[in-house]
Amino acid sequence: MTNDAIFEKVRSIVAEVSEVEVGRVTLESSPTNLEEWDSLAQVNIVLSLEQEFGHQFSPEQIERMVSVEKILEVLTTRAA
Amino acid sequence: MPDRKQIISAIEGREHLRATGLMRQLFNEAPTLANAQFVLKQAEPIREQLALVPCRLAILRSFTVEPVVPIVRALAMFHGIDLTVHVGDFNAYNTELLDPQSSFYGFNPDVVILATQTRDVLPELWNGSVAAKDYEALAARAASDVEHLIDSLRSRIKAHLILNTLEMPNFPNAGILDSQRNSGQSEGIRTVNRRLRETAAKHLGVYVLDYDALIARFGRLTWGDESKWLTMRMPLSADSFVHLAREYLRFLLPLCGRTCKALVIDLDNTIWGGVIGEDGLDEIKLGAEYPGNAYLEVQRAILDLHRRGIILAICSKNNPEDALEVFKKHDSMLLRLDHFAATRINWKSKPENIRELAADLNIGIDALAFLDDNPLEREEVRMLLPEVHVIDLPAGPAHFAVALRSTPIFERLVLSNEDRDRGAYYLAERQRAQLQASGGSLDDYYRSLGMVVEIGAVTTRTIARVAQLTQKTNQFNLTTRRYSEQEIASKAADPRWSVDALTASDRFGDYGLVGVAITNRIDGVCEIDSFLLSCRVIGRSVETALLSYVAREAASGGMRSIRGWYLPTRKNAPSKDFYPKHGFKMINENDGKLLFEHDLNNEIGWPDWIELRTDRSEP
Repeated sequence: MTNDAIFEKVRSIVAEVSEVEVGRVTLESSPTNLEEWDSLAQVNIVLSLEQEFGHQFSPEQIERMVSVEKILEVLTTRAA
Repeated sequence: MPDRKQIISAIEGREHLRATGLMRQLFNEAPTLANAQFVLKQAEPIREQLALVPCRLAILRSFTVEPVVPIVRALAMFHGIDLTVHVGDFNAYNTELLDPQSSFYGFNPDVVILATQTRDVLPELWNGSVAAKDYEALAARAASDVEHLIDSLRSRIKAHLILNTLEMPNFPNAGILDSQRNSGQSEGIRTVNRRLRETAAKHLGVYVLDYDALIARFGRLTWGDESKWLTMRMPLSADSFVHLAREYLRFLLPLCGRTCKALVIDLDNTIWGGVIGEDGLDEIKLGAEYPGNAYLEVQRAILDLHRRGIILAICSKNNPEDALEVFKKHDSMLLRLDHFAATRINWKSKPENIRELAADLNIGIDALAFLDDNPLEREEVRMLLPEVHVIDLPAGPAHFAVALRSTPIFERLVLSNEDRDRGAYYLAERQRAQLQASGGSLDDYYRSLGMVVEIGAVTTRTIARVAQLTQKTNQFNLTTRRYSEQEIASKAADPRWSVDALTASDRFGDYGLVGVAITNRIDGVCEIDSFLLSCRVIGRSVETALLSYVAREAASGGMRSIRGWYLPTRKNAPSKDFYPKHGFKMINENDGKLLFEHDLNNEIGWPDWIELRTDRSEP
């Protein structure tokens, strides 16, 4: 999957879980600037990403996933 | 797998049958959280057409369960339930159940699930710091804590309560020593679970979900995910939530009356391998070797359903003599013809036969499930009879039995004597039909049945069946008011109310408890709150007998008149003329709802071919 495709996938998951329009989710989106991205949405985002990418995150990875940009970093550097 | 665009376009085109079919397929093939959320969102505009029954579920919990919510709501929707879910505050279930002002009571649930895990409920046991001699005392304390919560719930609302068993640790603290003695950590957990079951069994409407068995079924090590537990206090791995949701569904379907009463099965390549009309008796596969043993497992699963009270019927494209020969002559057959209440073995289409079977059995088409190895037959039934629950089978027979056993549509939370004996009723019913077909007038037929009915107040022994009848009876049901066991119990205890139950038998066999009348008396008027009869006895004037009894009791209790509503539903047209046929006058009409009244100076005649026995000696 290309990095662009991963970005689109992450965007749509964040949007769907937080129940906001996809257009509102950008690379910079995070729980601090997107009100709907609360702790519960965070749980669901992590779960949905695991199911979508077939990867179980480590505790360190989960703790780093605090913005769309950081999520992309984790996903693109994850062990294949 | 259907893609999302297909679903969106089916919904825009208002093809709600196709849309729900595609959504179900999508979710079955990829049961992810994202798909559950997608399905729920897309279904919004077509919800109205789905005729869902509402149900309010509260999940009170000690851990993060939120991801289960969209999944269980999507699954419930596929089974005809509009589920509204309230999730309690984190690990606050005690205060929520004890505090009458809690948002939990404000939500007013129909069903409550107490989702707990061992490390939250009894951390000392989870940590292995309890001595074996203290297990009994610990279990007694845990049971009394639960008892206290049940009492608090019961004093306020009548919701069903589902408790979870405590789960075993993946690795008991003593390692394999744990299983060498009866004092290990797992024995401690078993002790608590046994007390929990005993506590639940003492209360109506309190059930146990075996959380430990659920985890074991899917595998302890993959059920949980330490990473998410340690970082987000979420103990379950992503894929476990769908298993949890499916387990919840097994309870919700019987509680919402969304279960099937009958299973219609195909024969060739479904309960034996091969085609009897082509292969012959000696060549079909059924016996100790694969694939014959896979078909034996299917037959065993079907027999288990029969014992649970599920009516069985055959629908097969075959020459009847070929198919029947297998039942009569094949040594390995577990299923016998007398397990089946009705059969259609011919060359007509399956939907046509299934429609006839429903009429034969006198049950609604939506109470039928269909088992067939052939995907084309399944698709045809799905298209032409969307009400039928079609069971999906994998390609080979090895997993047929598991597919049948894992479907939630046959779950029962209580098993009445009637459920256990249902097979025999339908056999007797076939003999009755033969008698009726042999000629003579209807009166002669009634007389020849030798019908005896017993009518009396509901007892602790009959309360489960009475509640079950109010929940399941659709056709001969004047008001279709659904009551739980607790609601029946509180009416029975109220001196203004009467809950009468009718059991019937004739020379062919017992019908069991098949009629219920619930009445109350105010200011000289006896009002019939509920009046219903199982479809098994409709058309034998038992309904007249029950009405006559209720009227006579009301008159002897000093009532001047008796009243009753007919509240129309999609299914109860057969009871519409019941009151006028017995001389009641309509006194009110409001939006299709009809109120009838009868002056108790005029008796309602008892059908003289029915013998009445009253039994009031029981508590």
